[in-house]
Amino acid sequence: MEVTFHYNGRQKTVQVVPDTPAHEYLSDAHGRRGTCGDGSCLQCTVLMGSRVTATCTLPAYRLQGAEIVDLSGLDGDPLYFDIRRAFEKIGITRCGEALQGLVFLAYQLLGENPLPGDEELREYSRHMTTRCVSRDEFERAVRLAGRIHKRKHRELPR
Amino acid sequence: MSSRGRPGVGRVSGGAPETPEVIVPQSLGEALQLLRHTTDRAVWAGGTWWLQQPEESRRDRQILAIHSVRELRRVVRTGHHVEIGSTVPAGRLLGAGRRFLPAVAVEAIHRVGPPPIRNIATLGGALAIPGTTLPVTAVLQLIDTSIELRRQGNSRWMPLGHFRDPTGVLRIDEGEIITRLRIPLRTWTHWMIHTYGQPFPGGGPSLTLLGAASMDKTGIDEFRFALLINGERQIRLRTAETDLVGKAVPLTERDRRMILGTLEDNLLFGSELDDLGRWRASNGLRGFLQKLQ
Repeated sequence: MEVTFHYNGRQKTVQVVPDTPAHEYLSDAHGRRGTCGDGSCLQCTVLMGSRVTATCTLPAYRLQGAEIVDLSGLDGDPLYFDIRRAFEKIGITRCGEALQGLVFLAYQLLGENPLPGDEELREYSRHMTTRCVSRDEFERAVRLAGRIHKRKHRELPR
Repeated sequence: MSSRGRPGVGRVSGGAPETPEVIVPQSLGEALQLLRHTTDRAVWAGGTWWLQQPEESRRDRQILAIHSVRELRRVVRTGHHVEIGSTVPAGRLLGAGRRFLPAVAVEAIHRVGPPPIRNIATLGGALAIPGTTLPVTAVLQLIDTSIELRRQGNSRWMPLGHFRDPTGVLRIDEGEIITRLRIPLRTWTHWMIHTYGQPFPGGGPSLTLLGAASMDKTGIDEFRFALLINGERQIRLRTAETDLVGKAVPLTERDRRMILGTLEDNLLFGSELDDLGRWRASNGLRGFLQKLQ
């Protein structure tokens, strides 16, 4: 079947087998296939709408009409910029394969709450199976990104 | 492929012979009508579980994809319960439902998977996995969730505990789909979810201990305890649960011995558990009883 969706803002039409994982049709320059098959390795994650989604568990027919964004689609986004900065400071950028997923997790979390509490952070980090970063490092990086973003975008007193 | 003109709407059919036909209804009426005419269709909500199955098991089937059905994506809260559409993604439920859902249910929904999975996976899908009971299903059952099953021209509610027969087969008629879950809004002051092993299909041996209790000034108001063994068999201590209601806390040594004895009697019939599993179950229950103060 043929599906049409937006990938980083550009319309894309591809032939898909509907009951196969969507990542098979996103694996061009930026799409990653992942290795786990159950979404835990974070390698094939993208933003679908505004939600982080593992494309290895997303049926291909659900791409129809979807807005898919990968890291390159977030270029110029102020929150993404701040997350990158915080990740660099903490040293998470060494996570080559899982970096995209970690950034998207932080992006969704900070999009919902710029200054997340410990409990919220733990809800996002508790399932992380990637070995390149500890949960503590991830939580510190997200907290830092939230603080940077909030400081830059707080309203000035009149 | 044929469509109705706008993305994500209408029917999409396969081109090659081996490609399954996918139909994406937009309303519940349309979905039920389609199911009435072709009852051997596979119904996919999130589709996350299906994609983790071997390819051979999902070939040559027609798929009714109900993720876009508006009526199934609603969450309605009343004074006594919350009704959740069967295709509400678990992640959305955590965002909106955190404030009013029982804490034990929130914790169970967290265990559906990591955020990238929770944003697609649905509770309706989790309940309907053939042959496997996930911890979230067992927890919802423990807190008296009921489900609505609908087919064209008919709907019925049933307790979630009756949804599977003792052999694990779903009690769902042809042409029926799960449309809503009704979770009672009561406060469980104490609860426990403890999992040993990987409780998902193909994850090997696992044991999940589930407990929930509500206390009032005089003692135990409600008490529930269940074991989920290998995601297949559930053990509920119903007699002991009833006997504990109204007891003052801390429990007497006699009461503790009574409920632990009931658990051990039940475990004698559970050949799936080894000695370590039995010890974990007894120890988990003992720990939960100690928390009831």
